[in-house]
Amino acid sequence: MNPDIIDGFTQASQLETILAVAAGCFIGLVVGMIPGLTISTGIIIVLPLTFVLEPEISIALLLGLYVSGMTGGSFSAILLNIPGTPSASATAIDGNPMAKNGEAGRALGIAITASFLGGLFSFLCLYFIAPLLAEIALKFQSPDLFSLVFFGLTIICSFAAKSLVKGLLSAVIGLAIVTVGQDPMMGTARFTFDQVNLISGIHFLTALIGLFAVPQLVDNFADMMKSETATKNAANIKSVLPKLADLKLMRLPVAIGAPIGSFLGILPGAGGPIAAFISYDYTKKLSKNPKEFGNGSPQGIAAPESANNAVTGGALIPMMTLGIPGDPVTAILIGALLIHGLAPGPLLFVENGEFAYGLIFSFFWANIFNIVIALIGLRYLVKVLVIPRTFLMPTIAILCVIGSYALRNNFFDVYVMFGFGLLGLAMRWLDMPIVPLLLAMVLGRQLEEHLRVSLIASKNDVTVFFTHPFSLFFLCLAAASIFWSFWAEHKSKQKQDQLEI
Amino acid sequence: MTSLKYVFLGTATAALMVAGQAQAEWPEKAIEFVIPFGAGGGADIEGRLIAKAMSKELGQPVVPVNKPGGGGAITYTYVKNSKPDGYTVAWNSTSVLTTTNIGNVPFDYTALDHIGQVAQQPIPFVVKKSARWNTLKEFMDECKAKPSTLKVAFAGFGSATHMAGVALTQLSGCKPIMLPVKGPDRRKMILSGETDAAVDIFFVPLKLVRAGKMKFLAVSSGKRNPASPNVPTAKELGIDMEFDLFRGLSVAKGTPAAIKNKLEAAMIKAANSKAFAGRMKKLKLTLAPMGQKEFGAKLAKANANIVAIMKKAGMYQSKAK
Amino acid sequence: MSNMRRRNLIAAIILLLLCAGYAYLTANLPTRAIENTTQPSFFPWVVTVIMAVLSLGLLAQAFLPTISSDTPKTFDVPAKRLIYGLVLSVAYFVSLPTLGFVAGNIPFFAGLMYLYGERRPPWIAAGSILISLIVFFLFREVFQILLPSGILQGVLR
Repeated sequence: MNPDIIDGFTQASQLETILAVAAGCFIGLVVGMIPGLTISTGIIIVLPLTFVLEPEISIALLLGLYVSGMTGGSFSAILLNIPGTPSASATAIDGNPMAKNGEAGRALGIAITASFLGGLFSFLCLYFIAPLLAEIALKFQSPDLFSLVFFGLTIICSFAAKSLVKGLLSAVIGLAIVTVGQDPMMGTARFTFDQVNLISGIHFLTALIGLFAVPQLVDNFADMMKSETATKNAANIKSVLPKLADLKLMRLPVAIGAPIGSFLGILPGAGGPIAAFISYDYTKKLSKNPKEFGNGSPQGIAAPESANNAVTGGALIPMMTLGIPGDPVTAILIGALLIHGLAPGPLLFVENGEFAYGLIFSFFWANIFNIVIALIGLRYLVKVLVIPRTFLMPTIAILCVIGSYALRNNFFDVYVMFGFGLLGLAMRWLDMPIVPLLLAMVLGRQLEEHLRVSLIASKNDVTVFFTHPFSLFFLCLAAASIFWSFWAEHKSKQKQDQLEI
Repeated sequence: MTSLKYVFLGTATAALMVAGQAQAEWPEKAIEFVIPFGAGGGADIEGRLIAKAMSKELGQPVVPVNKPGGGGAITYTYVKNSKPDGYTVAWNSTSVLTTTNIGNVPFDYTALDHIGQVAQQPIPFVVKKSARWNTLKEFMDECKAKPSTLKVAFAGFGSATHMAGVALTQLSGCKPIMLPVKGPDRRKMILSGETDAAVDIFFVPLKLVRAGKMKFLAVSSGKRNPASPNVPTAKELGIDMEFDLFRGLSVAKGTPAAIKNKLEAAMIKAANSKAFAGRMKKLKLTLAPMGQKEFGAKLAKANANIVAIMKKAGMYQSKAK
Repeated sequence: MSNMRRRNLIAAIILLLLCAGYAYLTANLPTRAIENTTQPSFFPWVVTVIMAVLSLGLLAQAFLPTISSDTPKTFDVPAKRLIYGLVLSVAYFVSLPTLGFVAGNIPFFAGLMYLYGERRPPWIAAGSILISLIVFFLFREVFQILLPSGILQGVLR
């Protein structure tokens, strides 16, 4: 057996690491549960911590938050009919009717168990697929890597937006922002306007805080949630431990949701909401009693919940092996790794195998603690739903400011963060997705470097991108994803036109 | 309510003022430890280790901050422009000589005050284990016979690996394709066969050399390295160069001598601390702590050497147009 | 012209202007005299071209009848509150370096609490002062992240 696996397991099972996972799970459940706070917000809150903690500990914290945030979203979806995170939207369809029928505890138990099973399945995917993929990725050369990153960006755009043009524009704006700062190869300044603070470029974490938090804070100006329903439904929770009959019912939806979630997790940009809805639809089609769906079917909860938690393990695969994040959370994980001098990519398994496996096992522990904390602490956790927003939102606002300051101990970054917040509002106004912009900022440097190295090595021969088999393969995939999303947009447009007529 | 609030405020501030007075001497706040390279490289890992150990010595946090770019230009400019109060320290490296002499910044290494050196390592010339060249001469001969075909990767224009690469190849009379590639990617490119060779830092690829995946053809230092005693130095192979990657500390010019001496003592103690020395040994870095005087002499000598290499290669002060 | 189309039109024009500015800066980037390399301006040119094409695509969306005319999501935020929020934030950011994180956060926090609908003065006072202090000391003492204390430097050190 690979000694790195044992070392990794030992590393992930240290007391401090485990405590960090548990803390992450706790925070994740809380932020996931509160409508108006997403997993990204939770991550922004703990972000400054990752600058000071040891890498394995901060990663453990973030993983716990990631996994539990997915589960926590279902609580408010079930109890309040408001999904705590976008990924829990599908859960509300059947979860809330069950809660209204007085079965809130049963519904929550099913959601938690399905989350656990989905997460566990994706752990197995991560454990077995990631090292293999890293092995293959070691063979990738610069043209291949360029095409891979390019494909990653196009697929993110095609998943993210209703309008392909806006998705792509968002990504291109991100690429333009990345060119600010020193040329990574020549060292000359670009677009810095003689500003010292711009020489090292704009950090994507600064951008992330502004882009995600500010629109969310503004959103919360509008909907001041009533917390009465929460307390009423929460009072109904008796036992959350799922019964044997429920476990049997869950076989089909989990068998559908877990693989779909894991697979869509691997694709950058697809993420939880899409996986949840797709597996909900499939389960409904294959179920023996599809009529129950929408009126409080346990299967209708288990399918999306197993899928959105399975996304987490899937999304870690390209993050670790290729350095390509699929969503804001994995982007932050990359940022946290880089802060500690660990560059994710195929060499992570070769040069820091112990750490790579440590991460995988921390993910395992995150799933264990997720179910344990959720099942035991649920009755107390739901009390946070009554925390008044008047306290919560200003706290998040100042944490955003501190987070952006602490990244480089620079007030300039605070202003940059606020600027990105305004940009986020403008993009919302235009219905332009922000995820492509963010991920383009993470991947932009790589894209440029791989492109330029490919051209230098081939003496400016553009055909290298088509003669390398891997590269050609990724370019075809990129073209396919653009074509598919163009077609899908056209289709939905036609449908809409028919409805209007 | 309000009275309660004042009680809280009062006790909190009082408690803190007491805590503050106990350490009125330098350092009384956290020290910024600026690392001129991106996270993940060798310089970064070592810097973080020494910062941690120094923090124990000085009783204040020593916070590592990465300010990569321009082969160290950003860090040195930043520290040069910082207040000379010892709270901003640069984790220097050979780049303090290269980036200045190539003309990335409008000053030379004397624009900073230097505290001392912690460790050093040679720059190896690395190829894949299965490569057809077993000696540097074989590589250079093939390179001379077919100019602009063999590829050599290095860290970026103006970096120390670039200097060593230029020195090695130009003094051997060969002209390879030079690929500027960052840390982990450089080693991946050797493994995938995308580049024929790389000029790298010593200890990170050493792990891969020991794992039988790569081999060193030469090292740039004056002496052979004990971690790889069979690898000849460039000088032994008849290439007239001597190049070390060193790591040490610099501060803004005009920092008071008392603070510099404190930093020097803390740095040397930190370097010799069990934890740090152990890590150095494990990493196969040569621990060679030296103080301000000795390091000053070394810098002067190394600077002359680098200027000579650059002039020979036509790179001296080849600033951006 | 639908609401979204008008927005697309405005955005497309802004983006084209930005693109032109970016192209101008790119054209004036410094170059380096090193053989067999790509210049620093290479990638920005690629970005410029793609951005121009996509902005024109967005412009087309504003006029072509076949493409999306969805009514957009809007913030249901009272415009007044949004403006107050912005003014408050700008004042906060401008004064932050001088005031420091405690003295700056307290009024900001109180203002935000008011904007989020809290109207009871004792609650606002308690919330803003306590949470600002807790956060500050949590970061400094527990997480070892130094936040400048600005004008309160003498009191808080």
